[in-house]
Amino acid sequence: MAYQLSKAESSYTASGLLLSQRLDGRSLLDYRPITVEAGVAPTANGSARARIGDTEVVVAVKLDVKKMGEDGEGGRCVCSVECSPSAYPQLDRDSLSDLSADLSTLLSTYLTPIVSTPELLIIPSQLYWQASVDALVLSSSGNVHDTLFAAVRAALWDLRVPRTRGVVYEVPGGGDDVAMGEDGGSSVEKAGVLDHMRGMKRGAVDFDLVDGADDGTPLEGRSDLPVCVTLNLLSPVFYLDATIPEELCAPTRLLLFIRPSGTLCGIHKLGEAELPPAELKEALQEGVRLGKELGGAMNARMGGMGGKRMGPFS
Amino acid sequence: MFTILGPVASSSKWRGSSSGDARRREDAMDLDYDFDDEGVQKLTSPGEIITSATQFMRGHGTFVEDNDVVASLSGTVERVNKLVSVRALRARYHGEVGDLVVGRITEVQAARWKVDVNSHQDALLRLSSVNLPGGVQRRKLESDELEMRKFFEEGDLLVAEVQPMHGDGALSLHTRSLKYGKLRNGQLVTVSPVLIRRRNSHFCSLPCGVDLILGMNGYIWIAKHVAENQREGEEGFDAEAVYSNKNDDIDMETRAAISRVSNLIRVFARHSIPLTDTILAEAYDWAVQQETSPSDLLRIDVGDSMVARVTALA
Repeated sequence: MAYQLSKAESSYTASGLLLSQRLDGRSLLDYRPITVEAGVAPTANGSARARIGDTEVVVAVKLDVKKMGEDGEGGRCVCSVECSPSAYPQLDRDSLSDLSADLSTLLSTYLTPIVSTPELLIIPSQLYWQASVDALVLSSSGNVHDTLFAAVRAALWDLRVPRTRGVVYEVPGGGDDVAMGEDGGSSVEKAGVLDHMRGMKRGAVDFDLVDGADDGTPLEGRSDLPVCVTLNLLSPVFYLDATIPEELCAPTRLLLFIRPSGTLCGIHKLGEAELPPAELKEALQEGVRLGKELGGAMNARMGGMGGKRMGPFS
Repeated sequence: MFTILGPVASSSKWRGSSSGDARRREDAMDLDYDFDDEGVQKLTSPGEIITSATQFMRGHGTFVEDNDVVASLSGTVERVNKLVSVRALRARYHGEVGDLVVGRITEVQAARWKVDVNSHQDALLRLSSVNLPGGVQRRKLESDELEMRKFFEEGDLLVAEVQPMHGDGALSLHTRSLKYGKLRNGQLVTVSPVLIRRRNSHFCSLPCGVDLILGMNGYIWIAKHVAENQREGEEGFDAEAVYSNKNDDIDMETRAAISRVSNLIRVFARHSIPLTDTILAEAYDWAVQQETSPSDLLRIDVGDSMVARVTALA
């Protein structure tokens, strides 16, 4: 059974919102304090914990080597969002798994373009890094989406892709012939390892880690990863970072994915109410502006943590 | 506009004040578990030996092993004569007869309502334990059973008193007093039940024009002040007003005061400080003096300095 408000509560909340007076005194476009911490899971390739108000999400990204499928396109990422029952004590198991599935789908839609970069290819058309992104919603007091995507973004920022180099097997003394496949198996025993560049040219068949797994290259475009800003539309006003009662008062919610450079790269609508186009325009403009600011603040914060990886309790 | 914070160390130190520590300091327990040099009560951890079982009896939260009383919970040690028990730091509400609770209707059943009171199970409110329209002493009729949603429907908040419980441990409630019944004109804040102490009256009026109902179950209702002589049912019982879902007109100052009080309660809850009307009134005065807006209290530094200031006064 879902969390419900009494009629008196929802009318109190909604009339307050229409007067720009929220339950906790914030203005309509204010966020609660945002906390982001990276490197919380020592065994993951990238991890982060984000908190907005009392909503808390932990995300870990693990890279695994996968063979590419027939079509050259394997599933590049596996996303799973788990909602802890303690975060949603009022939900039964079925609705909890529904919620987790919804969030997982949303997350994989978000991540697919990000993890399809050549950086995650080990050997073109053969091997790639598959990112397993696991998120855990630890507690929820509204605005789970923004918190989840802030945590995912921070975890991707924290992600280090291990450096690899291609390896070519060469039949000793066999000149330029590259032994590949089963036939070459026996003669590969004493194969020489060529350097990365040469390996790539030759069509590498295997790879080698360059250095320890701890160090690696961060994602190239990480400073322009999108942030999520949820607009709660209660005609004619809209507000950000809603608490649970405020979320229940909004008939429509729009998730905007905005890059810090100011590009709106995704919209997802929650709720069944229709959207008046005139309002939508203003809401989107404001949303993009705020998303830019939020993304800039996230970058400043993550950049401020420096290159060093933080231990779980440091 | 956005600032994103780094991880914060948990600043709240348990202050050993869950129940009557002053009294216990006087009778200077001869247990190993006492206060340390600074007068801060120590916490047990599960499996920790508290005292000898030959001299003391085990109570809740403890068990006996090898002639020792051992804690099974993390919490504070309490002693009544020879009975030693551990009161958990975090627990769901454990009802006692006569407690005042604030609850939310979760289900309407045959001649009774199920009420969420932050306990292990939902409490029961029988149709025969509420005031029915047409007089306090009226017997319930079949027609009342058919229109139970006219009195309370799912999601409604109410204030009630705990009656002797059922065999299965579910609490039973009653609202057969004009003080009890449906709640409106305000908002709900949830804190841990250990922060609410038993007191003469759980209905408090703060000087800032806000009424508080401190439910023993940790649900706190903060609403607009209603003058004593304007309370519903003062002149006979007016069912229309008591079971109304409509809010009165609430002006902006009152709304701001309600938000401020609710933020103060959240700050105190974060610091594990038991809530009383005096401490809230002091904190409210401080907040007004400092000219902080209600939303400033959401900031961790402002909250910390408020707590430091108010606890220094107390």
